Amino acid sequence: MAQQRIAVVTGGMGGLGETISTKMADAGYRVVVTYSPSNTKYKSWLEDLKKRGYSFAAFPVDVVDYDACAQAVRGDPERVRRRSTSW
Amino acid sequence: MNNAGITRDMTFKKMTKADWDAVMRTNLDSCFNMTKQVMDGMVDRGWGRVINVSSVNGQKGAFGQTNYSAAKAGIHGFTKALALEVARKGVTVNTISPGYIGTKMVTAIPKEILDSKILPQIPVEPARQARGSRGPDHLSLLGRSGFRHWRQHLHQRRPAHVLRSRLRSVALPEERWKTSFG
Repeated sequence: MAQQRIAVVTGGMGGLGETISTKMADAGYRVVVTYSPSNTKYKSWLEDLKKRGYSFAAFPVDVVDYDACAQAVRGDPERVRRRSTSW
Repeated sequence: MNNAGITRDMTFKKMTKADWDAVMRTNLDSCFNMTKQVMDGMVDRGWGRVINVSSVNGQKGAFGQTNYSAAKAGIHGFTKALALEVARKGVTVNTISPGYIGTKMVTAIPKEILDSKILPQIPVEPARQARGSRGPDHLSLLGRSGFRHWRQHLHQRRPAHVLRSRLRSVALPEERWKTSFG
Protein backbone atom coordinates (compact mmCIF):
# COMPACT_ATOMS: atom_id res chain seq x y z
CA MET A 1 0.00 0.00 0.00
CA ALA A 2 1.25 3.41 -0.94
CA GLN A 3 0.42 4.97 2.36
CA GLN A 4 0.40 3.09 5.60
CA ARG A 5 -3.14 2.56 6.70
CA ILE A 6 -4.32 3.25 10.17
CA ALA A 7 -6.33 0.76 12.17
CA VAL A 8 -8.22 2.16 15.13
CA VAL A 9 -9.11 -0.47 17.69
CA THR A 10 -11.46 0.52 20.47
CA GLY A 11 -10.88 -1.38 23.64
CA GLY A 12 -7.54 -2.23 22.10
CA MET A 13 -5.93 -3.21 25.38
CA GLY A 14 -8.55 -5.77 26.31
CA GLY A 15 -8.59 -9.52 25.93
CA LEU A 16 -9.57 -9.62 22.29
CA GLY A 17 -8.37 -6.08 21.61
CA GLU A 18 -4.74 -6.88 22.29
CA THR A 19 -4.78 -9.75 19.86
CA ILE A 20 -6.58 -7.70 17.24
CA SER A 21 -4.12 -4.85 17.67
CA THR A 22 -1.01 -6.96 17.34
CA LYS A 23 -2.46 -8.82 14.37
CA MET A 24 -3.25 -5.58 12.62
CA ALA A 25 0.26 -4.32 13.27
CA ASP A 26 1.65 -7.59 11.91
CA ALA A 27 -0.46 -7.01 8.81
CA GLY A 28 1.26 -3.69 8.25
CA TYR A 29 -1.17 -1.26 9.76
CA ARG A 30 -0.31 1.60 12.01
CA VAL A 31 -2.36 0.79 15.05
CA VAL A 32 -4.11 3.26 17.26
CA VAL A 33 -5.77 1.81 20.31
CA THR A 34 -8.32 3.55 22.43
CA TYR A 35 -8.82 2.62 26.03
CA SER A 36 -11.25 3.50 28.74
CA PRO A 37 -10.37 6.70 30.62
CA SER A 38 -10.73 4.62 33.77
CA ASN A 39 -7.95 2.29 32.66
CA THR A 40 -5.02 2.82 35.02
CA LYS A 41 -2.73 0.24 33.46
CA TYR A 42 -2.31 1.75 30.03
CA LYS A 43 1.30 2.78 30.56
CA SER A 44 2.49 -0.63 31.58
CA TRP A 45 0.50 -2.16 28.74
CA LEU A 46 2.18 0.11 26.22
CA GLU A 47 5.60 -0.61 27.69
CA ASP A 48 4.88 -4.28 27.65
CA LEU A 49 3.84 -4.22 24.03
CA LYS A 50 6.84 -2.13 23.14
CA LYS A 51 9.07 -4.84 24.55
CA ARG A 52 7.29 -7.23 22.23
CA GLY A 53 8.07 -4.96 19.31
CA TYR A 54 4.81 -3.08 18.97
CA SER A 55 4.69 0.69 19.02
CA PHE A 56 1.10 1.69 19.36
CA ALA A 57 -0.43 5.09 19.70
CA ALA A 58 -2.97 5.06 22.47
CA PHE A 59 -5.65 7.49 23.49
CA PRO A 60 -8.17 7.47 26.30
CA VAL A 61 -11.60 7.67 24.73
CA ASP A 62 -14.93 7.15 26.39
CA VAL A 63 -16.71 5.43 23.52
CA VAL A 64 -20.04 6.11 25.17
CA ASP A 65 -19.47 9.82 24.67
CA TYR A 66 -20.11 10.90 21.10
CA ASP A 67 -18.25 14.18 21.45
CA ALA A 68 -15.24 12.46 22.95
CA CYS A 69 -15.14 10.12 19.96
CA ALA A 70 -15.42 13.03 17.55
CA GLN A 71 -12.65 14.91 19.27
CA ALA A 72 -10.36 11.90 19.41
CA VAL A 73 -10.73 11.06 15.75
CA ARG A 74 -10.58 14.63 14.48
CA GLY A 75 -7.34 15.37 16.21
CA ASP A 76 -5.91 12.05 15.30
CA PRO A 77 -3.61 12.16 12.27
CA GLU A 78 -1.16 14.67 13.65
CA ARG A 79 -1.19 13.19 17.08
CA VAL A 80 -0.72 9.72 15.71
CA ARG A 81 2.34 10.78 13.78
CA ARG A 82 3.78 12.61 16.72
CA ARG A 83 3.01 10.03 19.34
CA SER A 84 4.00 7.01 17.36
CA THR A 85 7.44 8.38 16.74
CA SER A 86 8.01 8.84 20.45
CA TRP A 87 6.85 5.35 21.28
CA MET B 1 -12.44 -2.08 14.79
CA ASN B 2 -15.34 -1.50 17.11
CA ASN B 3 -14.15 -3.89 19.74
CA ALA B 4 -14.81 -2.12 23.04
CA GLY B 5 -17.36 -3.96 25.13
CA ILE B 6 -18.40 -4.77 28.64
CA THR B 7 -20.67 -7.19 30.45
CA ARG B 8 -23.05 -6.63 33.34
CA ASP B 9 -24.36 -10.15 33.63
CA MET B 10 -27.39 -10.88 35.77
CA THR B 11 -30.87 -12.20 35.34
CA PHE B 12 -33.45 -9.85 33.95
CA LYS B 13 -35.16 -9.91 37.31
CA LYS B 14 -32.12 -8.40 38.98
CA MET B 15 -31.07 -6.11 36.18
CA THR B 16 -31.38 -2.40 36.79
CA LYS B 17 -31.81 0.33 34.21
CA ALA B 18 -28.21 1.33 34.87
CA ASP B 19 -26.99 -2.18 34.05
CA TRP B 20 -28.98 -2.12 30.85
CA ASP B 21 -27.82 1.33 29.83
CA ALA B 22 -24.16 0.72 30.56
CA VAL B 23 -24.03 -2.30 28.27
CA MET B 24 -26.16 -0.81 25.51
CA ARG B 25 -24.12 2.37 25.45
CA THR B 26 -20.70 0.84 25.66
CA ASN B 27 -21.34 -2.05 23.29
CA LEU B 28 -23.82 -0.60 20.79
CA ASP B 29 -23.84 3.18 20.94
CA SER B 30 -20.05 3.09 20.67
CA CYS B 31 -20.36 1.57 17.19
CA PHE B 32 -22.32 4.59 16.05
CA ASN B 33 -20.13 7.03 17.93
CA MET B 34 -16.87 5.82 16.42
CA THR B 35 -18.05 4.79 12.96
CA LYS B 36 -19.72 8.14 12.48
CA GLN B 37 -16.35 9.85 12.84
CA VAL B 38 -14.63 7.94 10.08
CA MET B 39 -17.27 6.92 7.56
CA ASP B 40 -17.36 10.13 5.52
CA GLY B 41 -13.61 9.97 5.07
CA MET B 42 -13.76 6.34 4.02
CA VAL B 43 -16.45 7.07 1.46
CA ASP B 44 -14.53 10.08 0.15
CA ARG B 45 -11.42 7.96 -0.28
CA GLY B 46 -13.39 5.13 -1.81
CA TRP B 47 -11.93 2.63 0.62
CA GLY B 48 -12.63 1.64 4.15
CA ARG B 49 -13.09 -1.28 6.47
CA VAL B 50 -15.28 -1.29 9.52
CA ILE B 51 -15.25 -4.40 11.66
CA ASN B 52 -17.64 -4.67 14.55
CA VAL B 53 -17.02 -7.24 17.23
CA SER B 54 -20.34 -8.78 18.14
CA SER B 55 -20.86 -12.08 19.89
CA VAL B 56 -22.39 -15.48 19.39
CA ASN B 57 -24.80 -14.45 22.11
CA GLY B 58 -26.22 -11.74 19.88
CA GLN B 59 -27.81 -14.50 17.88
CA LYS B 60 -28.47 -17.23 20.37
CA GLY B 61 -29.06 -15.26 23.54
CA ALA B 62 -27.49 -16.17 26.85
CA PHE B 63 -28.73 -16.68 30.36
CA GLY B 64 -28.10 -13.53 32.36
CA GLN B 65 -27.32 -11.44 29.31
CA THR B 66 -30.48 -9.75 28.14
CA ASN B 67 -28.56 -6.49 27.92
CA TYR B 68 -25.44 -7.92 26.29
CA SER B 69 -27.37 -10.10 23.84
CA ALA B 70 -29.57 -7.19 22.84
CA ALA B 71 -26.57 -4.93 22.26
CA LYS B 72 -24.73 -7.58 20.27
CA ALA B 73 -27.80 -8.33 18.16
CA GLY B 74 -28.04 -4.60 17.61
CA ILE B 75 -24.52 -4.63 16.24
CA HIS B 76 -25.57 -7.20 13.68
CA GLY B 77 -28.40 -4.99 12.47
CA PHE B 78 -26.24 -1.89 12.44
CA THR B 79 -23.57 -3.70 10.49
CA LYS B 80 -25.85 -5.14 7.84
CA ALA B 81 -27.74 -1.92 7.28
CA LEU B 82 -24.65 0.25 7.05
CA ALA B 83 -22.96 -2.29 4.79
CA LEU B 84 -25.80 -1.87 2.31
CA GLU B 85 -25.42 1.89 2.34
CA VAL B 86 -21.69 2.08 1.70
CA ALA B 87 -20.79 -1.09 -0.17
CA ARG B 88 -20.78 0.68 -3.54
CA LYS B 89 -18.47 3.32 -2.20
CA GLY B 90 -15.73 0.80 -1.57
CA VAL B 91 -16.38 0.51 2.12
CA THR B 92 -17.18 -2.81 3.76
CA VAL B 93 -18.80 -3.22 7.13
CA ASN B 94 -18.63 -6.59 8.80
CA THR B 95 -19.19 -8.30 12.08
CA ILE B 96 -17.15 -10.89 13.84
CA SER B 97 -19.04 -12.88 16.42
CA PRO B 98 -16.72 -14.74 18.74
CA GLY B 99 -17.90 -17.50 21.00
CA TYR B 100 -16.43 -17.93 24.45
CA ILE B 101 -12.79 -16.94 24.43
CA GLY B 102 -10.58 -17.26 27.47
CA THR B 103 -10.35 -13.56 28.18
CA LYS B 104 -10.91 -11.86 31.49
CA MET B 105 -14.49 -11.18 30.46
CA VAL B 106 -15.17 -14.90 30.34
CA THR B 107 -12.97 -16.06 33.18
CA ALA B 108 -14.77 -13.56 35.39
CA ILE B 109 -17.91 -15.67 35.06
CA PRO B 110 -18.45 -17.73 38.21
CA LYS B 111 -17.49 -21.36 37.80
CA GLU B 112 -20.92 -22.66 38.69
CA ILE B 113 -22.50 -20.52 36.00
CA LEU B 114 -19.95 -21.68 33.45
CA ASP B 115 -20.49 -25.29 34.40
CA SER B 116 -24.25 -25.23 34.64
CA LYS B 117 -25.35 -22.67 32.07
CA ILE B 118 -22.67 -22.13 29.48
CA LEU B 119 -20.52 -25.20 28.96
CA PRO B 120 -23.42 -27.60 28.44
CA GLN B 121 -24.45 -25.56 25.39
CA ILE B 122 -21.09 -25.83 23.72
CA PRO B 123 -20.68 -29.11 21.88
CA VAL B 124 -16.93 -29.25 21.29
CA GLU B 125 -13.74 -27.53 22.32
CA PRO B 126 -15.00 -24.17 23.51
CA ALA B 127 -13.30 -21.16 24.95
CA ARG B 128 -9.99 -20.60 23.35
CA GLN B 129 -7.62 -17.93 24.40
CA ALA B 130 -7.36 -15.04 22.01
CA ARG B 131 -4.39 -15.94 19.90
CA GLY B 132 -1.19 -14.11 20.71
CA SER B 133 -2.57 -12.52 23.82
CA ARG B 134 -1.05 -13.23 27.13
CA GLY B 135 -4.20 -13.18 29.18
CA PRO B 136 -4.15 -14.46 32.69
CA ASP B 137 -1.32 -16.85 33.47
CA HIS B 138 -1.32 -20.12 31.62
CA LEU B 139 -4.55 -19.41 29.88
CA SER B 140 -3.65 -21.00 26.60
CA LEU B 141 -5.95 -23.81 26.00
CA LEU B 142 -6.14 -27.47 25.38
CA GLY B 143 -7.03 -29.16 22.14
CA ARG B 144 -9.33 -32.07 22.46
CA SER B 145 -9.43 -32.14 26.18
CA GLY B 146 -11.99 -29.41 26.29
CA PHE B 147 -12.95 -26.64 28.55
CA ARG B 148 -13.22 -28.53 31.80
CA HIS B 149 -9.65 -29.66 31.43
CA TRP B 150 -8.73 -26.14 30.64
CA ARG B 151 -10.01 -25.05 34.01
CA GLN B 152 -8.06 -27.82 35.64
CA HIS B 153 -5.10 -26.74 33.61
CA LEU B 154 -5.40 -23.29 35.10
CA HIS B 155 -5.10 -24.66 38.58
CA GLN B 156 -2.23 -26.98 37.82
CA ARG B 157 -0.28 -24.33 35.96
CA ARG B 158 1.09 -26.62 33.36
CA PRO B 159 2.90 -25.19 30.37
CA ALA B 160 0.53 -23.84 27.82
CA HIS B 161 -0.44 -25.74 24.73
CA VAL B 162 -1.38 -23.92 21.59
CA LEU B 163 -4.16 -25.65 19.86
CA ARG B 164 -6.78 -25.50 17.22
CA SER B 165 -9.74 -23.30 17.61
CA ARG B 166 -13.24 -23.36 16.38
CA LEU B 167 -13.12 -19.62 16.40
CA ARG B 168 -10.98 -19.61 13.38
CA SER B 169 -11.35 -16.02 12.35
CA VAL B 170 -9.87 -14.86 15.60
CA ALA B 171 -7.67 -17.71 16.51
CA LEU B 172 -6.08 -19.33 13.50
CA PRO B 173 -3.32 -17.57 11.60
CA GLU B 174 -3.99 -19.39 8.38
CA GLU B 175 -7.58 -18.30 8.41
CA ARG B 176 -8.25 -14.93 6.93
CA TRP B 177 -10.45 -12.43 8.64
CA LYS B 178 -13.96 -12.25 7.33
CA THR B 179 -13.09 -8.97 5.77
CA SER B 180 -10.25 -8.63 3.35
CA PHE B 181 -7.67 -6.09 4.31
CA GLY B 182 -6.55 -5.67 0.72
